[in-house]
Amino acid sequence: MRYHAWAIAVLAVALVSSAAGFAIAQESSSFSDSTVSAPDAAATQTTPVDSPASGGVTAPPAGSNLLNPNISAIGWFQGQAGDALDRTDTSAFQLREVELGYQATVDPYSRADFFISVSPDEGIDVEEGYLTLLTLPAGFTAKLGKFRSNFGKFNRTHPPETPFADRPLAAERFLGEEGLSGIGASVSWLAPLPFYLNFDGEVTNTPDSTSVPAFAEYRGKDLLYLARASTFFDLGETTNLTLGGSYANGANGPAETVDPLAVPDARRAQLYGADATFRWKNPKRAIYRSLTAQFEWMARDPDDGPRRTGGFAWADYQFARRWHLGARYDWSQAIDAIADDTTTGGLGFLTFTPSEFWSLSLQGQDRDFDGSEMSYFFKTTFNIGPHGQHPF
Amino acid sequence: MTRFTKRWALPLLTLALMTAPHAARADKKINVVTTTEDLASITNEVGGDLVTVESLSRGYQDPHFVDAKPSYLVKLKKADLFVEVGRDLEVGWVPGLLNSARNSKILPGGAGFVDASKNIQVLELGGPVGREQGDVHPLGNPHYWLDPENGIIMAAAIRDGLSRVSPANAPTFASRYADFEKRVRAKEAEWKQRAKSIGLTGTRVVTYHRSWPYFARAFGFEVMDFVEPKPGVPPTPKHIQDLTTEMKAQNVKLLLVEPYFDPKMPQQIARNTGAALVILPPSVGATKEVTSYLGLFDAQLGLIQNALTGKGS
Repeated sequence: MRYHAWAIAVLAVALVSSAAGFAIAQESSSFSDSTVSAPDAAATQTTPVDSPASGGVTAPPAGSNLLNPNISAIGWFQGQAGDALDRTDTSAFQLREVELGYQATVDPYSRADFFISVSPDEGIDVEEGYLTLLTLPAGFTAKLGKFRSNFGKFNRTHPPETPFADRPLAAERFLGEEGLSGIGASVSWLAPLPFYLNFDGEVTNTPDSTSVPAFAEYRGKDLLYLARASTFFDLGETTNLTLGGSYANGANGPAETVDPLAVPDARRAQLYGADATFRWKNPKRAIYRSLTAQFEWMARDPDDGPRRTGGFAWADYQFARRWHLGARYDWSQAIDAIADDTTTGGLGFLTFTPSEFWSLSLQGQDRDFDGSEMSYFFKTTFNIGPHGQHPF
Repeated sequence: MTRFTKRWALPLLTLALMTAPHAARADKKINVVTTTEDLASITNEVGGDLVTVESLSRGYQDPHFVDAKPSYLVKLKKADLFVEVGRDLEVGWVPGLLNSARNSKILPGGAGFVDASKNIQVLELGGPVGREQGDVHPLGNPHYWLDPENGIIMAAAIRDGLSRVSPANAPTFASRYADFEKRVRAKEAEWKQRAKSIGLTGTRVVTYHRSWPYFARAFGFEVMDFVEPKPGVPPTPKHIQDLTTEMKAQNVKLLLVEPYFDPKMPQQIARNTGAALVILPPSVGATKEVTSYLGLFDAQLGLIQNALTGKGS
């Protein structure tokens, strides 16, 4: 077992250092290129390509390809070592996910976003695929299709894009390994106030309990209802605070009946959440230093069972242009257990981002099940395609 | 008064008062939101008293890296006109904001959306596009506002946008635009003369990021190389060493750095090469002194003059 851990660690360090070395080699070798090409660049500057004769307006080349959606792909490769490999059927190397994104406007009224996740273990899944109505009046927008649910702040982030190699314990125990998502409709309303206050309402199918433990799909008509309110304040020019409260109510399997022939009603489970996100970044030095700290709490109240709670708090400090250091603390009860023991855990990570499009991270996780259980991860994500939105 | 009138007088009066401002909307100012302070300044020139203008970013921010804060949605939701630099400069933060702003008027294609780069002859278009080139902009170099000639073209795009959302005031915008054009042209001649007299024209300089090709074209100097080996790629010791050697060999006297980059590395280069380091404001609002688009070029040339004539940098 220990060999395993060492092998992963050595590989990870080798990859990180070769990545850094590769980047440096690329950068230094480019010097001669750029000096040589400087006059060429100056020459092209005065004659913009593809400018039609009339007025010199520069337009992209004509062609039907221009109507293709933005296509992007994110790869998430991971190596794992430590105690969890002994206990579970997890493999040491994982291509956790390849996430394909297809995004474009549909017409002047709407846009469509598709995110297809492909993984050797899970196969092909439509992670999200929805139509957004952009031209509704009075501060409304709406989504139709499959989308990640607006429960809490963390749940909306696609798994490869979180800073973590794992899921926070509470998120995993309540909302599952992939997080809560649903097929249905969502309405969002931005209140007409001088500050940001937004309300979301969603109606979706209740997911099955193997993917989302907090709920259990029963009949087609037993839907999941979700509401969220969130607000944002600038505390100053460099700091801001996002606060949110979420509520979800969904089916929780069939109720017990006395009459064996009767079709039982659905039981329900309710989920409450609260979240706070603090951010610091000096806009004059935006690319060098930043801090994000997030706290999230959730509680589950089933019709016929005890209340169970959990949460997590994490911070990510960018201490240099390409380096992040972070830690997370987890605590959570097991939602279906009779005992109300709280499991705690933690994660630490050091992340190097050679560019905006590639990150390499070494992480250590400690979970206190029956005694401490250590896991080590090497996570790397890399993406290709058009420049996307910076995360916020 | 009948009971009916008594009962309804107050609510009706309230309703009347509430709707009164709508009747007076003809006098309401056009609410413009821009991505940068340069655009805000030009919009003020063209719009005058008829507009209220707010820029989302400050001039001292790297316009590539502005956080898409939800508070911007509140401003965008109320905007009659939105003006962006375009050419993917704001690709990391604007598209998501526009999609979430609940304001279809300012979505791309809407009457209230202005891409100020629409009629600009952009540079560095048509070269190789790939991430091996660094964080390149496939639609050309977006720092085009740094040529005052382009300021006139931007003003025309803003004039057209304002006239679309307020056709009744189109003549005012047209005459204010004409006046702005005249003033830019007059200043332009003065700036070019000044660039020559201070020794900027004809010289070779090094800049941090690829932000200054338009500025270089306007004032006739050559950008020999960059502190960044490739756009968006941080400098390495090897690159800095080679750059220092090259700058000495070419006798480069000037090193221009945008205020949002860490000046430590450029300071070291300046010390080792004897070149003058100028932290050059790339936008209106980059320093307290730069409050208008026309003032931007005055300030830039003033700083360069001080550096080249040895009056401190």
